[in-house]
Amino acid sequence: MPSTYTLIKGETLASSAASYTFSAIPSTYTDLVLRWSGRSDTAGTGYQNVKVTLNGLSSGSVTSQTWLQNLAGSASSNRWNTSYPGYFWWEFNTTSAGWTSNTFDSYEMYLPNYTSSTAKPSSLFGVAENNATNPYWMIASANLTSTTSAISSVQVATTSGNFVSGSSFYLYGIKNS
Amino acid sequence: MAITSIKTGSSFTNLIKYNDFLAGNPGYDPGATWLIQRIAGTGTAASLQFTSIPSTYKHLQIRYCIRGYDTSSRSDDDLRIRFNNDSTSANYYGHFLQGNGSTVAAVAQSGAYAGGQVVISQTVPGSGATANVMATGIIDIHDYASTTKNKTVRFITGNDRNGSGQIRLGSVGYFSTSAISSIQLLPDPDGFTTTSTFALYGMVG
Repeated sequence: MPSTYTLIKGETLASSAASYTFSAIPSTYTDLVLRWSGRSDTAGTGYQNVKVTLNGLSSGSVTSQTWLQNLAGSASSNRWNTSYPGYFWWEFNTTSAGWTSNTFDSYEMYLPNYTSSTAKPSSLFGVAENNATNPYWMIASANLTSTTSAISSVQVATTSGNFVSGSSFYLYGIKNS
Repeated sequence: MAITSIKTGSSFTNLIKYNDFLAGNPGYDPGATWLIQRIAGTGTAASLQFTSIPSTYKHLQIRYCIRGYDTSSRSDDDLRIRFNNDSTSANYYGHFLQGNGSTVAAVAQSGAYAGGQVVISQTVPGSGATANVMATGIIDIHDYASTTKNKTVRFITGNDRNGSGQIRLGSVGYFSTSAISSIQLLPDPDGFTTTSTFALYGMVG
């Protein structure tokens, strides 16, 4: 019986980097699963932004997100879409240098039907732990991008600073048969 | 029966000799997810644990379907978790987000319970709950074998009893850079039924 869940690529950063990109993603799977564990080197205890960009998009598409979160001990739900012009990625949070040392976030994103010629949805569950009540972050998010091209690259990037060494990124392919 | 000879003149002509027994067959893909161990409840007052977890994977995932065994006919039991038998409560922190069909709560669990027990669920159906109702969940542990990272754990768990229910998204920070080699699954107050199962999977990276 063929395997239906396969590692495409995984890597742990040996040195800090502002982003990590999976490129030349084969079109032979049905769905993708992206997992990462990151930490920002930006000073302070604030929430640092992490963005996930498909196919290097910088124009011609619209992205939107609806999420439920536990942010600093408070539950809330929100969404954004074209009211944020110029966003061609999905955005989340990660730790910064002032959080408990050696502690990284943990994310999993599911990208179904990534080779389709229709808009691309995804779902995500992620947490950024800290040995304290705050700051802290947890999110469950439903995401959409209007691009109709098959997904051939996925980039996870900080919006300021770098991912520290030890941050790790994994991409899996799922087949439906 | 082994093939020891092929007659000339048969349809088996012009055969190609391969040095690889997979030649001519589809490539073998071992997959990314492997079952490491499955354990079941005992129907007695006992905790369960995965031990001697190999460090050869990148991530661990526990999938479970459980019901609490208790001697006090409780509606709700706890599922708690601990790593490496580390009972230092200061090494743990937990957060979760939960809903029960009407109320949403965001909660922080400072330092875990005594003995380093972090609560995953407080609504595992107990002996007094509707018959045959189970709680289910998935626990993910990223980079569990790292010796430079603290461990960040994600989980989703819940149950529905056709009248009440709860869903919880949560996380556990295990602030230790030791590789995780054992996981304790701790019931409160007593144990898990024999119909309960926990399955531990390793995921390659």
